[in-house]
Amino acid sequence: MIEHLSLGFSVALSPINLLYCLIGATLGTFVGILPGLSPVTAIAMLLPITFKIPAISSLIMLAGIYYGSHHAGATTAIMLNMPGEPSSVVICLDGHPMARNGRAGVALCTSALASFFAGCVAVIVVAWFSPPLATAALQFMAPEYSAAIVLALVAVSVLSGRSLAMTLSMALLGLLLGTVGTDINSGALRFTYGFPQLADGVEFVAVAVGFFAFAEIIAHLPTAEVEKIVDTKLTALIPTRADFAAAWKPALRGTLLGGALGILPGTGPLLSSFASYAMEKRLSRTPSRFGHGAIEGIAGPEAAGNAAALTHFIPMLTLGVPAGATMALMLGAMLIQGISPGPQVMTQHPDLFWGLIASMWIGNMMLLVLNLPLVGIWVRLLSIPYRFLYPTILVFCCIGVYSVNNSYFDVFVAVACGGVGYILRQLGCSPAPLVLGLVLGPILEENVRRSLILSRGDPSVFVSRPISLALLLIAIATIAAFSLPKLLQVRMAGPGEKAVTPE
Amino acid sequence: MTIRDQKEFVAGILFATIGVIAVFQSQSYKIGTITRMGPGYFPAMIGIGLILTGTTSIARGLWQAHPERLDNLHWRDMALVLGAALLFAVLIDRLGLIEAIAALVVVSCSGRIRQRPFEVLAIGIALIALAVGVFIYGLNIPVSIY
Repeated sequence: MIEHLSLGFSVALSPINLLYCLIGATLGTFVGILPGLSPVTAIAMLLPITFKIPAISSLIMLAGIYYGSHHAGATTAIMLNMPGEPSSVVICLDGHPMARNGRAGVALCTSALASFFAGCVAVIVVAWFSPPLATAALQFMAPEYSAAIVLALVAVSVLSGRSLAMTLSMALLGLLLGTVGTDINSGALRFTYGFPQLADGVEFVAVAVGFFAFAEIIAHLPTAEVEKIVDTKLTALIPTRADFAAAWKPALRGTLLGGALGILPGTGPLLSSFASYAMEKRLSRTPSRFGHGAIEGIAGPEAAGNAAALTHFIPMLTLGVPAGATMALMLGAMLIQGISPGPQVMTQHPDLFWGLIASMWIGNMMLLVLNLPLVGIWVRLLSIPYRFLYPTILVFCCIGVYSVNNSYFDVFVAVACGGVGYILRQLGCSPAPLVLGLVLGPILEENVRRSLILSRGDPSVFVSRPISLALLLIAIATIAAFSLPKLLQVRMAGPGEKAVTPE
Repeated sequence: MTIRDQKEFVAGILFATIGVIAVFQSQSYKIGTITRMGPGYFPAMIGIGLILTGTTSIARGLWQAHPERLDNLHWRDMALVLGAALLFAVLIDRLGLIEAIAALVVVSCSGRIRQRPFEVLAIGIALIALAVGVFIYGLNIPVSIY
């Protein structure tokens, strides 16, 4: 592991990659603080730009945006009682009361330190678990891949909304969109309706921008006129010895919990931070303090969220099966760079794999510096009105989508997806399963077809192989568990509101 | 009969309809057999799946315990944002980057948030400068500037 990591650091420490890491971390902080801008939107918006820079640099930058935004989402939660990211909803519960008690600085510092600690541990987890997992995954044949993809789609669907029927529909719709274009086996054109631009399939970037950027902006506009008032003052940053004593155990527990949960598809930072909060409250001798500024309620969830954000990469890097919408976008970035994702990435592109992991550690260092001493500047960013922000997002999205293939047609596709995405959003459908389905659709179809050719048309091939059977059973058990209405209610009773989606 | 969860009901109808269309469209491609799947096989399967999940949603919408009403669609915001992007797509090849951005900013800013003309001008100029700097000089995108 040491030699791999040193290779990784030699890649990540090259000046150009350091620069992209810094850009990613800074943009991520920016995105995490501005409430109208989610990391998925930002990554969708910047995806086209990444084609023009080297693969490793682009992945380092996109990853920086992702974990950077989770770091910074807590800042607005503490200062404004307004979560910058869905995963920081829990931080509001105790972070904001702390700020009102005049301990905003301590709360910010605790969240930054807990995040950093969790980041360091999670990077080691990623470095430790990925190689054996990738080695195991090399044994995967077409049936196992098909089963793994089905499981990923089910897991993301289960955790994306209030109705499993609706989220599964979204995943299926994504799979259907993925079939548009030339059929790989026969060369026949499917669902192109006479548009030659669709022969290569629907441009993934255009769909991502439509669903995550355009639809988000439309949905956000009606409420964007609300003024944001900072009613808390920044105070001393350094936690006292007592704070430290109260916070280190929750941070450690949160790290372990988040690190473990993050690997599972569909979970990610949102669920992990909620789970950690619930755990800390249960373990506490004085649960009544929770909700009134308990430092454990910041340290635990914040550590869990950041650890999960990093271990969330593991399925994508080792199996080529993304665990959530953001990871689906990262996978899209890899595909467009000409890297076919899967267990062979680690052996064929070790510089990319280990460079990315090393950059996560460096990025977490940068975030600590960015967040703590500069927190005053970031808080001031909150006063940027949305009316300046959304034209900027629109301009970057439009040029970005256009520039992928120099095709205005792709912008039309993005506009259509934006309209459909907004309507579906108002109906309560989360776009995450759809985007995952779109990315995984062609891979799923290829593997299902290949499995059935290998088995000479015997569909039992999916259940006669132990790994494939196990993965499918987990998928079925997940559907069964979440179809039971009682469990559903427990899940919705979390402190957040119903609009939160994973990522 | 009343529809309890209007959102899920409407979404279910939408998904089931798409499923039916997908199944019918797939018939026009070769379906093939399970060993040698034609191009229509996989889409037809997905279509059947969508019909199943869609009808489940319709049923849930009718009998769901928690009533849920449809949200308003903000047609004005939708038209402005999408119209602005559409205008950009039409203009970028015909005129150039600067005109396309200018149109995009002006249209998207004429929305419900009260914009001052001076601000729109400032945003437009700043974004044009930024876009030309990043995309033309930084990333060398082959597009005419104006």
